[in-house]
Amino acid sequence: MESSRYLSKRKSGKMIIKLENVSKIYPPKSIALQGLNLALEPGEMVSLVGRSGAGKTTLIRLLIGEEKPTEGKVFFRDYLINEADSSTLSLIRQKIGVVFQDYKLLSRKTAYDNVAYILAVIGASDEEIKRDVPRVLNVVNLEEKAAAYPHQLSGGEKQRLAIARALIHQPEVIIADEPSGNLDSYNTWDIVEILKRIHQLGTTVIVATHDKEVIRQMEGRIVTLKEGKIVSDSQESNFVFY
Amino acid sequence: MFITTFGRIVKFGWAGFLRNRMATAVTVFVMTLAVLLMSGWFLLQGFSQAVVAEVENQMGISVYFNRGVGEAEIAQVQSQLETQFSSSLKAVHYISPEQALEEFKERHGGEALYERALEEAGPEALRPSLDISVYEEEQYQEINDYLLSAFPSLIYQTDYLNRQKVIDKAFELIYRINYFSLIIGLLSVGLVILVVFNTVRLALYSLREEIETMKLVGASNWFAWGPFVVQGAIYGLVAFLAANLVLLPLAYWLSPQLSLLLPSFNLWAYYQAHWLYVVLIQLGGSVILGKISTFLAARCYLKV
Repeated sequence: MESSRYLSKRKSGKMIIKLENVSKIYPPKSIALQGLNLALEPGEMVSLVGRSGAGKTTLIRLLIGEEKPTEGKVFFRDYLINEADSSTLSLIRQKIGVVFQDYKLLSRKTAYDNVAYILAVIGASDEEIKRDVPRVLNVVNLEEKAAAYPHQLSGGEKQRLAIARALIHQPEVIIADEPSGNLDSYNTWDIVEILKRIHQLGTTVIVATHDKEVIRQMEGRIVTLKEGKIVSDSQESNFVFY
Repeated sequence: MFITTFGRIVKFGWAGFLRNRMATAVTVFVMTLAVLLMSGWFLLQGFSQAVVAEVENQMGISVYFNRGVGEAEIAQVQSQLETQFSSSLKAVHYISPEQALEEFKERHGGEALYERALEEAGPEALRPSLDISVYEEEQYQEINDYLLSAFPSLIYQTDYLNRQKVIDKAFELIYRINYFSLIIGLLSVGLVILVVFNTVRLALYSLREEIETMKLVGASNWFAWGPFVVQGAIYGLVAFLAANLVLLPLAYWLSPQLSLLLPSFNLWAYYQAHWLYVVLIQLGGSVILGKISTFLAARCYLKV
């Protein structure tokens, strides 16, 4: 990691993310989440674990306002995400960096431009973009692929680019949805190491995964989901899948 | 901050225009056709107005006076007529018997039958008359009735009854031309909006995931759709230029051909006289339509 300037400082006191009695039901009667209560402190490292279909991705979608809960409240700091208007939602999303399961890279932009786009979104100057983008590409070892388009990158490189994009604007929270999905063990180890280093420098990191190897490597709190409910919430790494 | 953001939106829009060349080419082509259609409608308006004016100029009634009625008396009739119908009269012309004779000779010179008839009737065969034209068709009847009742001793006859059918047909033709032109105009505007909107929507369909991603990583609606609106405006601007590359030479070439058909209409002169309207219609139809279409199409994908 080249420097800590991309990483937010640990904040104390207030919860950074809070879910109050959150349920999500997809029509007609598919229950994705049921009565979830969860509070995350600033600077925490949380692994959201569970089998496929346990509700991890739905939970992440609620956290970034991509979906609204059927019941309950989702807070980011003092913002009630599920009632935020479009501009507030944009501001909240600018404070959260997301590594999507399917990367969601902008296919018509180069690796450099994918990362630069986020800085453009938050209104950074051209000088800041020219200075920061190469640095963060360096952090994820992609400086030589700056001019490549997403389809020219391997799975691991796409994942690292997605992390660079999530990291560039120094968000308060980084959420990674199945960061090891489709990656070999070497690339998985790389990604986990990057996320751990980001966390060590003070950023709240949430990793949703069903990969036992990833869970073992990660440190911190483990929240286990099963059929849309939290069935365990502990600091121990000696977890079991329910 | 605002200027930087606006500059980036324009830059992204320009990059989007250059990037997908096939979609750009198709969109610009369709919009060029749309601009040509709108310009064609405007020029058709000019042509139909010229036809209407030509027909209107040919219309009117003539009032023939008895032989021996002097110019002063006829001037009196003209004066009273102009006072009585000041708002509805378009023109009143006095034709003396000498002028009538000249016109008759001009029109029928060399035609033996007419020349013989004129010889038999003598040099005073033609009567003094007033040629009257009005703005509204219904007023011919009114004027005819007024003249016959106010000056029965002076007037030999009017040709209102003879011309009534022609006048009715001419006004019906004018009405149909205006109606047809309006229908064509409305249809072309509707067609243009539909075609352009759907073409732009298709061009943006492939980008819907990108727009959603932009929103998910924190772009405001304005920042996400702004480049597409700029892209739409550029489509329109290029279509405007392309349409004029076709339209200007075409108008120049068609102008003498149309003048053969309707001598009072010069397409090229009409184009030059109304270039500002043409440009406004073209730019309005292409740039604004392009912007609105892309805005509406992009909005469909901004719901994330």
